[in-house]
Amino acid sequence: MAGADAVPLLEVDGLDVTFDTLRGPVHAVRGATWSVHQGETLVVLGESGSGKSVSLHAVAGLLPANGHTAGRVRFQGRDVLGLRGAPLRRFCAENYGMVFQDPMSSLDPSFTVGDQIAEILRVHRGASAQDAWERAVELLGVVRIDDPGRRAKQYPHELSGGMRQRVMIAMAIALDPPLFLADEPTTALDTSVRGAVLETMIELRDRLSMGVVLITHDIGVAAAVADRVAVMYAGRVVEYGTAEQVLHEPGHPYTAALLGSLPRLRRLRSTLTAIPGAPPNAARLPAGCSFHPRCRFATDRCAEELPVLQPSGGGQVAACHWTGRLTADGDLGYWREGGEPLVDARPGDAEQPFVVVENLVKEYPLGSGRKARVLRAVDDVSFTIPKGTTLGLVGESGSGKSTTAMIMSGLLAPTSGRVVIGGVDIARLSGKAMRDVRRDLQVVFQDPYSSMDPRMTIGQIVDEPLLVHKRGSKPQRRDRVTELLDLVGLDGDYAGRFPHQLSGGQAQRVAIARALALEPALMVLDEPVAALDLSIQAQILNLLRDLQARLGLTYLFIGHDLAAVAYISDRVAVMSTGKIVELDRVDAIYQRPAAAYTRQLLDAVLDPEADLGRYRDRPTTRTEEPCVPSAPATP
Amino acid sequence: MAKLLRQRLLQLVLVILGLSSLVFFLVRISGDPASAIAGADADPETLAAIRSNLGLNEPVLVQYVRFLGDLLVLDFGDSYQYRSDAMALVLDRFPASALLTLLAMLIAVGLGVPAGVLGAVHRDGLLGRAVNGLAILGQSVPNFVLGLVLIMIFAVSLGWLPSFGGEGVMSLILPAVTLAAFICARQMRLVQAYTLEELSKGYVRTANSLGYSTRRIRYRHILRNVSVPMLSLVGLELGQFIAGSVVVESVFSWPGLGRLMVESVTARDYPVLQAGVFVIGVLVVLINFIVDLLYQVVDPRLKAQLVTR
Repeated sequence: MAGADAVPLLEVDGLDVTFDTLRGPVHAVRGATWSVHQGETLVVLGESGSGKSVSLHAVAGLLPANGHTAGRVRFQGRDVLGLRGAPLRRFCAENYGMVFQDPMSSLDPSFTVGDQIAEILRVHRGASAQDAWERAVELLGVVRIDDPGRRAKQYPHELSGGMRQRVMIAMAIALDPPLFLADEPTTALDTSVRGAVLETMIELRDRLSMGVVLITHDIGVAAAVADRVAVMYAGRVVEYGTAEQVLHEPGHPYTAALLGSLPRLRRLRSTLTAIPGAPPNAARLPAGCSFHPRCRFATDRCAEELPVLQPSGGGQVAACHWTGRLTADGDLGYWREGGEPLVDARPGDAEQPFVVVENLVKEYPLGSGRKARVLRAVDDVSFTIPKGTTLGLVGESGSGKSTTAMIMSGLLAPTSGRVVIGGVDIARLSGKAMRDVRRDLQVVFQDPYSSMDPRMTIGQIVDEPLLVHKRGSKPQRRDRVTELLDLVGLDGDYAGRFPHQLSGGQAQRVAIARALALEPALMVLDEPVAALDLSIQAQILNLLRDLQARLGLTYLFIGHDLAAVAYISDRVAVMSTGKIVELDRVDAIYQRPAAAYTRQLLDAVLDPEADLGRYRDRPTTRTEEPCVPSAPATP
Repeated sequence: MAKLLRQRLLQLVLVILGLSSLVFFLVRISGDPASAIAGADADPETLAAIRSNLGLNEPVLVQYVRFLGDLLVLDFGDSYQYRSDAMALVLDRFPASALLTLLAMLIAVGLGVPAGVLGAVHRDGLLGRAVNGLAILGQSVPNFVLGLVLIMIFAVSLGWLPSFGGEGVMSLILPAVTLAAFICARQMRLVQAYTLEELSKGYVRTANSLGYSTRRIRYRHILRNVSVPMLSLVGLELGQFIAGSVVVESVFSWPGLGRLMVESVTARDYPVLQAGVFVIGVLVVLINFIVDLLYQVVDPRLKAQLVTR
């Protein structure tokens, strides 16, 4: 890491970003300040709407036309914000390599990946078609894609997600830029691929002596790669320091609260300390400290006076009036332990399971005709769920977990096998009998917005199942809707609002209220927290646990994040390529994983304590390859 | 590939059979060819003689079976009006229609696509609004009205262009422009919508981050991706062109297939109608087949699908 006195590669100082919108200006970034040196990784950590991506786009000249900047951004001492048009484009292309969240949509679907890399060299280096192509193949090798000569001729859709992101990385380093900017580079990837992609990025940083700015919402990723961390909230940097300082001894209540919201395998025995409320809208920030309405340490002063970044106890700076006192007293250390110990009072009766799934198979034909093959999406899956308990179903994309969820929800007929719920086999039911079972069987999906009719009010949405199944008179149903909203922690006023007026967490609460309307016995929860911010995710997970304890519900919880699945589950089934490779009690899975695949998944979980510096500190062991050759010479 | 070909051949047979049968029964409901041939005040004996001569006095089902047999060997019979081979008549008129349609398509695509892209890129500016306005105007004016207005201006008032006839390039301009107008307007609109959609995609941001020029992003990357939905649109519209040409050819007295069909309907000239419908049906299926093949060229994702299928 470069010394603090060296000139930073990129220096962001008091950056403001404002968007002109029809409803007036929206101040998305307010006075963001951070810098990155050569050979160093800065992580900007924040939830959605915190301004982390917008600040990166401002630095890289990628703001839309209605975005305006103020403040200073200097690259190697040179002003960036003053640049416009073609000089800005050339400057950014030469100096920044950029990688975005979704590698599929970030690549042009109509060109081979080799063509897309070669195009960069042809445009900016004037390389000949053949030189550019050779260099493109070489670059694919540098980012550790096997058989690069063949891969270069393939289109983005023919590659896996991890490979696509490696292609993006190859494009980013094609012009040998000094700075690598990565906007949520691993968010769209499976966890098992995530580590390898991060490793490649850090390795390239060292080999090419780049600086790296990585934007993420994932604390585990931040801990694993960051030298320094800037935490953003509501457009401001609220804490800034080394990864050790910020993630181990946080100086801002928000950072501590985020860490407390994170499901962690080593802390399964205690509740998550969720942050109440939701992040504020950038157009209507609360007075004083933006975090004060959600802060457990807030005082009157916090509601009036905007805190500036000030030294906290550990050496970092934090935008909190009380950071010195809080760190001195150790008040922010609560996240390490979590909240209340979990009550393990679930009368799970394994003798009389409520759900029995036997030899479940779902096949899809690939093509038609005599030579047709079949894809076994679900391959001989069996499990049971005792009443009042949760079975977690964890797997990566393509593991068959969502197909299983669809069959369990009665939305998809299996090819063969039995799904017995409360004594009834739903696999072969149809019509009226299926409708009766549906009452006992409710589903909550990943995206709450798309699972609600945007033209219906929240009241109508929650009332609809009651109406369809003729549950009581109109006033009775109205009372029930209020009761249900109350059950999921929403004020009765919400009944008159529309889905788009709700935050993601509130919308998911409504979806849960609707699922509860008919007093189901089983809830199929299909990635219900995957689309939510960490602080909201903890709220929903706690709500689901609480509802289960109060109403004796049985859950099938599907997820890809092992720590979150483990937090809510009694037993966990690990799925891979359509099969359950391991099914056991949560603590057994965590402590004594039997299947190699489970161990791989467990290893891929990034914990802010155990995995701090995991990829950052790993010495570059792979030196067998030649060093990166330089780009073709400019003619 | 072989499968696609098989599918399309089956489709062709079904389309021709369906179309021909529909036309067969519709024209027989609509009136009597004998009175059309002999005139309104012909005596009953003459009419009966004509009918029996043409085989029209037999039961409809018998006629239908015979018609299907003739269809099988592509024999459409002689025109009632012109007393010559119906298919020869149709094929004689076909080039004029093809010329008109192709020119109109060229105008529509040549103007519509760039205008749509520009309209999307400058959607809030004057250009965007102009494109929007033109698109609405073009789609709301019926083509026979536009044709008559163009004749009024360019042929009658200014005298620059002939108002009718099939002689030379000059007489081609007005009908082609009239025929192109509606399709061009809709193309503008749709290209604008597709381009707007593409503009918000991730690969455009990537291209921007790589410092590519606006022109390169627009015409190399976006247009390439817009061409995928555009292609199916053009395929569909070629069918519409044929429908449109019926009206436009009548307005401009263009000696094409469309006008021949209209005349044949009025004269209840069954053989010519059937031959014309046959040619148009084959053409539409063929165009769709070509579009399907082109799809694979512009969209690599489809190529993969077809290979694995």
